[in-house]
Amino acid sequence: MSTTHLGIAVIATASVEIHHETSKSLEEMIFETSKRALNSLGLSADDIDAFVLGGNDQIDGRIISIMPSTGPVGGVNHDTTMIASSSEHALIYGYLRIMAGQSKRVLVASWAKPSESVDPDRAELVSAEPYLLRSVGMNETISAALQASRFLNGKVVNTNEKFVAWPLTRKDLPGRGDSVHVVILAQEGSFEVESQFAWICDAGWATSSYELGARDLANFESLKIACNQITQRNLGSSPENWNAVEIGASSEYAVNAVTEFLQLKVGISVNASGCLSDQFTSPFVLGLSRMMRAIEVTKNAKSSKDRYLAAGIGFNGFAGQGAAVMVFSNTKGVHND
Amino acid sequence: MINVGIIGFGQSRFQTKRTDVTFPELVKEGADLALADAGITIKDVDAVVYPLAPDALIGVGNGERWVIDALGATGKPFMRVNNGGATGMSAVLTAWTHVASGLFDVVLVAGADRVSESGSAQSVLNKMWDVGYERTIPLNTITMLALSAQRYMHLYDSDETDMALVTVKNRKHASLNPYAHLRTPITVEEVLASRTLAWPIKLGDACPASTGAAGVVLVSERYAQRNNLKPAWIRGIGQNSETYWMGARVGAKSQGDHADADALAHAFDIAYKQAGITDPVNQIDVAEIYAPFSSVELHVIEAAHLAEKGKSPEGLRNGKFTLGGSGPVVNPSGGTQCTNPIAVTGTIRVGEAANQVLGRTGAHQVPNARVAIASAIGGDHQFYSTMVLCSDLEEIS
Repeated sequence: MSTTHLGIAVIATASVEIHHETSKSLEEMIFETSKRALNSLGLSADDIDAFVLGGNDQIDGRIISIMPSTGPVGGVNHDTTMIASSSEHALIYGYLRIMAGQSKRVLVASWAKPSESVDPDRAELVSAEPYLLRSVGMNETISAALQASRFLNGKVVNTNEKFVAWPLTRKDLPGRGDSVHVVILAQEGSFEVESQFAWICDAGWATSSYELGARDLANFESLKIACNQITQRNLGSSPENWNAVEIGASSEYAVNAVTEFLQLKVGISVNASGCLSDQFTSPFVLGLSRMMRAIEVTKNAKSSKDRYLAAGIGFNGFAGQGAAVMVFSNTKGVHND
Repeated sequence: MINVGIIGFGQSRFQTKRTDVTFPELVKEGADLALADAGITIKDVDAVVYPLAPDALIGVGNGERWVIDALGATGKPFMRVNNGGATGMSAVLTAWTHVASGLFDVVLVAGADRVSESGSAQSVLNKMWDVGYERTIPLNTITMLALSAQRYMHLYDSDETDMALVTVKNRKHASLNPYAHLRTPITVEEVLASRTLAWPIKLGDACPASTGAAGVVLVSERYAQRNNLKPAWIRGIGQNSETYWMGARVGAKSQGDHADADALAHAFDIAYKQAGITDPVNQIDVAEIYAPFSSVELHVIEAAHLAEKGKSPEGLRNGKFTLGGSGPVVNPSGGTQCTNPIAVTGTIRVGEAANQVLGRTGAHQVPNARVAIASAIGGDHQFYSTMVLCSDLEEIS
């Protein structure tokens, strides 16, 4: 094993996002999506060194979610690890494995199929600790509303839409649905150059307090630290150099606030793939779904002679407790310019 | 290559129930003990990897988010691993990756479990099988491993006394370990007379439901050199996965036999190759292996190539694998059979192995231990993690 100084690229992706999948089980969806990603390169599971999975026991309704999902991704007889804290963390861990020289090709798969749950809101409620937050009915939507109200600064909310949780209407919130995302990462030299989608420039991630009362929900403390990590290591990949960003935040209010907070350059493309409510996702995979779109945008800029940077941002936990940022480029290497 | 070592290990004195602490406070206990042992504070830690197995056992979904403040992880990179029972060790391997990537110099792995508070752990664990097929048998971790034990007895002409010998050895070892949960020595007769849980597994063959915390601190070689530290070096790591389906563990189309742990053997082979181990019986001094039931330890010893298939009972009868015996000592801490706080059981295996090669374990120290192995098992004997540790970076001969 050796730490790699070679480039690391996304070489294949596959996704499925659907409002309510009634004809396939979660395992069938995972199998089909993984197979599609492998087939796109003519690879089989045996060409993969490690499988990194991202799932949530409660949302999946599986006591140990890695157990039924390892077979469908092709992980039997392979090194398989479940990163359960967020889908973005799973992608970052796949990246770390290649950086560490531990793997040359890694398949990352993450999912959520809330439609299999009898009551997804209750599954989210169980993510609230049992002493205080659970008894007040905390879940992703209510914490998103608390955060959004912090951005109002006294402004009146004028809408004809029905509030889901004030000040949020359905259009302000991420769409809900069943989704599976698969990304294959590889070290330079272990794939055909033309199969590269996007080079990974860097990743930053951090967490902040669980206690909603202990943090300013408008502050994005974890995002600030995650971005600082990237800036310190890799100045050329810092937010002011991005050409596009896909933000998987808890509401459109938060997307706007993140955009302001990052001090992005004028004209940058923000969530060009669509607004939050347009996409069928789930809080657990929302960040990864946006990273997938950042990869896609980067792939589209592949032929450009100019360096093109697209970032994906995801949050995990109530009102953005944790944040993760990945920066993708159409050109290889660290750019400290 | 970035070498990675372990400079700190902390663990609770395990017991069935703790009413003096909340879950986050218990997690903090593990972190504090590990950091204190490493001689650092949380401020020195670059990133945190948190082991937590089934959410349902603590009754909080994504329970890792709840304990972040208690861990002191706010403002730091943080990830949670969930590989079932292997989690505690898979998390250490994940932390190894963090350091080996070159991004971090100091990574903390700390967590806790309070298995007895889940009401019925076995009822929870029954739900890990497929709802349509195998859950209704009904399987749980005891019945699943009773099937494996029966198969082992059938294939290798073994009996319940062989299993009892494992318990006797582990309890003797645990009696020397102040942190172990079950520390009372036991006789073969007492094990055989204990009530049957799922034949041939009896109460005397089974692990306890433990409450407590544990943590380890991993550092890069450059950090160790800068701070004049002498870590236990991680020389090899391996992971492997089995099929989910119990029905696919035997028969013409199975890849292995439920009597054995062939997928674990493959994980050991990966770690051994990295570490340069070619003759495990003579090169390894200590094995801290994950075996929640006595029957499991028999085939894990064999998967680690410390005995041939079906031959570990013979070794036990001849006094092998025991403190004071010849050859590698297996589970000098008493092992998982005497202490099983699921989320951190694998972390304890690594920490005990690290302390062994550093000569720091106390009464259950294996004299002159230089090379140790650790392993963990998760899911329905589905996920396997292995590690080789050594007191130095010289060739393992």
